[in-house]
Amino acid sequence: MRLPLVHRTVTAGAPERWQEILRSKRIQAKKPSTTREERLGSTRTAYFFLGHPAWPQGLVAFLLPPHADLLDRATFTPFDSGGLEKHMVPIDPAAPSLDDAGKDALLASHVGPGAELHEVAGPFIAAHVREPERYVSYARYQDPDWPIFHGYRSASGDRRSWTIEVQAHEDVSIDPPEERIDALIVADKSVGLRVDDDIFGLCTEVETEDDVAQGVINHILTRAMEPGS
Amino acid sequence: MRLEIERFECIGGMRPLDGGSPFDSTSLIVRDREAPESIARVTRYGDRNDAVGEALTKDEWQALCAGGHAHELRQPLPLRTGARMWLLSGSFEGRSVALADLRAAGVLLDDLAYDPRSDTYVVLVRELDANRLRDAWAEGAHTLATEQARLGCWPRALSLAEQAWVLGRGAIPKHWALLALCYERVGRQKRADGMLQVARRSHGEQMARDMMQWRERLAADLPAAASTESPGLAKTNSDWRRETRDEARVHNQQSLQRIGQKSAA
Repeated sequence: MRLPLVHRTVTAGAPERWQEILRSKRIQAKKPSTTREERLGSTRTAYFFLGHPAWPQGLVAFLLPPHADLLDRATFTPFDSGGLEKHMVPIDPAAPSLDDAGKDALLASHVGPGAELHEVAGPFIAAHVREPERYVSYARYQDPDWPIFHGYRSASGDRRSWTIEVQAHEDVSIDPPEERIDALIVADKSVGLRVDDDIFGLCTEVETEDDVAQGVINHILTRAMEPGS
Repeated sequence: MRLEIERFECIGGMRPLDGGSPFDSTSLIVRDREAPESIARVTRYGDRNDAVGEALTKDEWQALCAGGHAHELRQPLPLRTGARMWLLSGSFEGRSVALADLRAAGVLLDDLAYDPRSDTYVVLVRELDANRLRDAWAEGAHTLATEQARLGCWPRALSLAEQAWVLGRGAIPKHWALLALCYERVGRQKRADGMLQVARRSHGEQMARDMMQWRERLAADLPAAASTESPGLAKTNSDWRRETRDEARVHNQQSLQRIGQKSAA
């Protein structure tokens, strides 16, 4: 089983128009969202979530196969690295909340090299949900079946606190699209109309922007998790 | 996030204004009049006085606009229960008639707003009631597209078929089939093939089969010869979007002139 990488993020301060991604056939790695990541040595990052549309906004979701050349120049964390800033709280109510140094330490101790993603993802998912399908299908505000191993959760219950984030540190090529894109989930036909001809056939149309996340989940469950995929 | 209707105003929608589609239906982005940093995207309406939304930070909202996912209105509009935003762009052929339909049907929740930079009308509608107009516009565009195809005017048929496809709600095989045929006849084979793939991915195998049956029926009924106008092999989708918009403007202008002449007579 190889879960796709889902890119739906919009980097505040350095946004990239989704149509430009398609036209240039690359997702640009930009200045990291937080200085905490920069302190760890990251200078450029494009963000993905593994196997889930955990970022909740956007008209288009890009699903990319986790090719080795992408992962070789990537890192991953078992949570949304940006969520450390404001949202992560200890699961144990008696535990002290994270101060700045604590957040730095938590991030530093949980960053893994992208090349080891597949080795870690299986046991990570198995440690949190009864069946791997649940990792994909659980909604935005849902706790895992078993406690989050790193000891912190989102104060709002957002599952980004236990969803694997992949940070690519170089631009990610989506050329040729047939090989580098598994699917594009687009919020209705008016968005599909804006997609260029060479990529259009990779689209799945859903009814509204509210349905993009479920469209991603359905796609992964029906295609990426088929036996032999 | 719960939103009190009276406290919030609409500041934008989850679509770009200059995206090139003749029609868009989008959820509203709203902000609290008294606490402008409180921004949300409306996801559904509750009883008469409230709605449910997803909170957005100001940074997220600005990034969505800059990323081509959303637009910000120049002037906020009041939020109304049941409202959804419709965008009728300059490439919507028959737009003035459609706007008149909306006024006459009493489904508008506010005055029409016009954005001159993108040549787009922004209207807040009670969508459940307005959808019957949308369905009729889709059917009308499909009929006109078929007529133009019968005349061998494939580029014009294409722009009308795209309009019918975008306006059509859900999976309507004849709309998909005619549009695929138009793409094929103007030399956009890759997109024509893509239509079938998208139909299959989005709506399943039965939809793909229905679409193919319609396509064969239409191909037999409509002129088999290649377009009477020059094929567009070298043109990009953006080029086509621009041409469609320009052509629709010409036809809309001609319609308005005809209406003006009849009124003067």
